[in-house]
Amino acid sequence: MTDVCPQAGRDPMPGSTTMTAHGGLVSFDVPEGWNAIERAPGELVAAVEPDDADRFRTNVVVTLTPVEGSLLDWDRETSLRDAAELDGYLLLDREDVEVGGHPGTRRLATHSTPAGESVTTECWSTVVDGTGITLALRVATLRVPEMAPLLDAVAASLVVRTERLVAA
Amino acid sequence: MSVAFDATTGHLQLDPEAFVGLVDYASDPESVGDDVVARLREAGAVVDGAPHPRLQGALAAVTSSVGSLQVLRSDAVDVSLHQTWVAFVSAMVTDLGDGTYDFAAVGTDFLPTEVARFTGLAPRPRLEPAEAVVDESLLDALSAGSARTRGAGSAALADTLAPWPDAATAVRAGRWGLAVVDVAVPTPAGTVVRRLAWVDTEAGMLRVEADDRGPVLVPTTSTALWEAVVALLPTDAETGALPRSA
Repeated sequence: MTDVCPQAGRDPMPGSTTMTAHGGLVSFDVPEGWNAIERAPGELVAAVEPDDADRFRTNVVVTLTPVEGSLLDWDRETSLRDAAELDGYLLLDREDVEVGGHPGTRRLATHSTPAGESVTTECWSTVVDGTGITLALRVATLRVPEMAPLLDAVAASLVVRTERLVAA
Repeated sequence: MSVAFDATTGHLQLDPEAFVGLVDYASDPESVGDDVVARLREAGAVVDGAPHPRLQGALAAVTSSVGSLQVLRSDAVDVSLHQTWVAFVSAMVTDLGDGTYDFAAVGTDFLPTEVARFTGLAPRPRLEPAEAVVDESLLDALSAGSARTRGAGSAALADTLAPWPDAATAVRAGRWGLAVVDVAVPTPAGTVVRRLAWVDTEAGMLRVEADDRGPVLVPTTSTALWEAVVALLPTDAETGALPRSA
């Protein structure tokens, strides 16, 4: 959770698996053994760390959304929506960065889950050809120091391809 | 002096004397003065000779904590000091700035959130890499109870921030904050203490680090501070694997 900038074409992180989503237009690396969550066969939307007792499972979620306005407007609307919908939402950091080789934003926030756990969420977002792409990484807050290097590596592995982009 | 208790939410607001009395009452009711007990009873914080059940989780944290966490926040206008007892479910005394305090239980995994709220941790611009050595007395002045002393301290701070003109301008305009978070964890080998401190301005944030020259201000980000706040909490090794979430 440092100021890494996801770049296209990076080498995979060691001991990782590359997950591809939305027809291969978005890909990112996660540790081997993480579970792929598919909305339909071959249609990945998330990757989740293996189940370990009853603790919150660190996860990475990819979303594609049609966006009519600018990246800035969309980012502001998304942040306001999160603040309204997520219990105890607190925006901690926000910066303009490159995401997968495109102008983007990075937001760090914390909130409570429906189960009453504190989680920290880092969102990397960009808009390409009218489609907003977000990679959201969520981790139990008390595991942030432990998991930060891994989440940095996942974020740095994000690749966004521009051809044939279709909103989900 | 006042005590106000909402049994529905468990929200308790009280003055320091009543807080000490409540904590003492939980372990030795006879040790607490009648006037204090009467005020606690009248507010509903003491019922049938015992603290209200909604308060027992927080009181248990006070009497059996594995460590303490203290947050000081000062600015040109005010100084506030918040105290937390870290346990399986922690307890927090929040300085309301009017001589009264909120006393409540809080899930230990939400302590970083509370620290962030107390200190106003929020997105800020990034400052250019540089560093500035400061005198320890300047940091003391910035956290002093006297507004005049803080004012003198902020003038000296602005001079120190020459490498970051926008931050210096903000400080000169009175738009600055100092946050100091202290954690103490008793262990068999002695008490482990950790401190995290930073200066906050609308132009960016500077962490107080220490080297052989003394305190040094170094640019930081709220992301880095968030990680550092979480890392301040007692570790499993220090607490004997106390569960770190409620």
